[in-house]
Amino acid sequence: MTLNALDPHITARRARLTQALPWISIAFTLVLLPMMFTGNAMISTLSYLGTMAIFALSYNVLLGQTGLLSLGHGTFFGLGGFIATHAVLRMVEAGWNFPLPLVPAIGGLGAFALGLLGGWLASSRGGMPFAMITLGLAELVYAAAALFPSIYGSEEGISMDRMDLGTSFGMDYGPTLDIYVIVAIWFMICAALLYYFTKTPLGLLTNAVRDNAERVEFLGFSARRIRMSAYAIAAGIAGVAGSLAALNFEIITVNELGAGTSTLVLLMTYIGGTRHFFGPVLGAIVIGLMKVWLSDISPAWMMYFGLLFIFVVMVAPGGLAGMVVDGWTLVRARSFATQAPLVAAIGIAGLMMLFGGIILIELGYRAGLDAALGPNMSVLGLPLNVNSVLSWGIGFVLVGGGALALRPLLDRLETLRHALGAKTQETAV
Amino acid sequence: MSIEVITFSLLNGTLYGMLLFLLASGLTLIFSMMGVLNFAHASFFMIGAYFGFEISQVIGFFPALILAPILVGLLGAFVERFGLRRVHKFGHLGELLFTFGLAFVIEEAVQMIWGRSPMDYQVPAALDFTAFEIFGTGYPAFRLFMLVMSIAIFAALALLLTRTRVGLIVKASLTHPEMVSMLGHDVPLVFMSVFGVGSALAGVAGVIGGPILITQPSMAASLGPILFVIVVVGGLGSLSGAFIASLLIGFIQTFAVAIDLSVADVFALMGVHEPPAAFGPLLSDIWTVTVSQVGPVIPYILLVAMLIFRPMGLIGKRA
Repeated sequence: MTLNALDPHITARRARLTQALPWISIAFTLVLLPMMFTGNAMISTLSYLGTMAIFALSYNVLLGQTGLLSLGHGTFFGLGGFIATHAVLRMVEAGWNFPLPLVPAIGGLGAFALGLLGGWLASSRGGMPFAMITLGLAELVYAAAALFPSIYGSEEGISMDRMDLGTSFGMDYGPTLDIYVIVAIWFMICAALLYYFTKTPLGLLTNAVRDNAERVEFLGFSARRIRMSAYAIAAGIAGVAGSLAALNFEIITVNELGAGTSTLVLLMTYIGGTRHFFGPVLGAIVIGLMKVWLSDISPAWMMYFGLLFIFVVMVAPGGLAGMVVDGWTLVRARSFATQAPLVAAIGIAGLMMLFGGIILIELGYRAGLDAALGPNMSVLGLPLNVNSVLSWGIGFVLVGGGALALRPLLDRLETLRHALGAKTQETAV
Repeated sequence: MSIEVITFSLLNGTLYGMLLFLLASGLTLIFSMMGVLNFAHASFFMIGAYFGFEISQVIGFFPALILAPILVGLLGAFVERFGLRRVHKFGHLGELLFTFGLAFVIEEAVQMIWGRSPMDYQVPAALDFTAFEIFGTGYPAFRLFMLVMSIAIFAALALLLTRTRVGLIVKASLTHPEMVSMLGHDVPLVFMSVFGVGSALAGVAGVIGGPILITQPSMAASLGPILFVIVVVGGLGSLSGAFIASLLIGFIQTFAVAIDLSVADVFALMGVHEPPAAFGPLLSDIWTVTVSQVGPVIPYILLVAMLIFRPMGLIGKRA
């Protein structure tokens, strides 16, 4: 390893390889997935996850890269979807044979233009005022949408038939697999564009605005224009995601414009991790799967979703991606053997609390919202009864016991790490 | 618009505005303290309404009016002590996101416990009569009671902050926490109490607002954005600004509902009765828009305009 480090060619090649590795594996996975999961519902879920991943990546341009908290990013997702839907309807009316896979580009460009306008209004300052203006703009668009039923449809939204544009590229877009192909290709395009954006001078300036906007101004750049560009780019990519969602479901409603979508993307992105490029993708996949699968087994999935978010905010601000990277660093660290028993104990205590928490929440839902389903239930194979003290007792004991055990364990780990750190410093000196 | 409609809209607007101020005052105090808007504030309002409903079922409305806000205040203090204080080290973004997640979880928890349908929270029988009659229409006593309560709390809060030693310490802790702490006061305790009292005020608003605004899980999400409009328009951190903005929004919303005028009516005055067909369906949408439909949009237009042209708000000092 030391030898290699001396040879710059080998290091450069290795660095390029490590950089390319995630991309190659993602492309490979995207090809492999539809072969592993056949069946329409499954493929449709995959398309949905891809759409959400694009959406979350676009949001991270604001939150992670520029340090801007937007509370109205869902607006551009929805607007992109409406633009794409209307574009398809108009082109079918005019009898054009426009290739369907290029429709998201129309939605994206439209959302980009609207994003420039929104960014011009919102981006004079960052922080709290930015969050408030984006919230105000989003509520404004949502409330105003009710006034224009011919554009936004009424309650049932606007629907279209994606097959009406005819065949192109050898696909007629009837099967869900065709849509998956479109989503997968757009995912690669958007991810590559956004990754390239982080390397451009403008992309680097957005990081500078996040870290110290005042200093950027002193260097002669307009922080406002940089924020505005980031906002418009994020809006454009969100518009692509919205268009893809519209193509996938063939319907778009005013709800897609609403606060729910904006909340979802914020939670997804932050849970995934804003400090790593692919963190938001991880968040989108985890939350998307929770939404699709967990909502079938548990009425409490939204609750878990919210609690996971609070957990990430309070304990692991690096998100899931940060946790994965930290774990990897720990495993590779020389002191792993000394730390491992404590880390394992902490993991067990954490799992105890998690299990107890799940029991309590499921019991809570059965006692309240779903009381009509009867008092008997089974959680992760454990039979429980809402009226039995024992069931509630198990939950409370697990949570309480875990919490009591966790405290001293965490303190010990910190002491140990402190000692290890001091030792490394001594050897270095 | 008749004088009757104007009188009733003025009364209802004042009432709604004062109710909003009960919430906005707590939010403003908490903002001055943390430097961050508390997204969960409207959720404490909702919890107040549900607690008020439950307690008034058991021991009556007036004990609930005392007990429910105390419980909500304790809950708020708990959240500050074990939640917010811990995320403080992650900066403003962490605090903001924490309150955001908290609002999300509270809405879910309320649905878990009480279900998704509205509660049957009725005006208490002792206040269910007509207080006075003007222009042949009665005004309900409960609304008058809400108005009196809100004004009394406003007065008490103003006196507490400006005339007492406690108010002095609170105000000093907001602006010069280090110096106050040097003088021997427990500043974290002051912050926890301010958060608790702010939440309790939201709880009071919930208990008295619950029977009039419907007690349901979406009540926090629908009121929350309006509260932000108020604090921002009034000027972040300014209590008197929040007071003016609350009344302003209260009047806008009640008057907008009362005015029954559409774009078509305006053009009818000029002798145009049909939308010009050349402009397609978009214009016919606009043609049928009434003032009461535009009502919900006005606060947000106000917010965006304010942030662009006068970012410090009506009375605020800092942008």
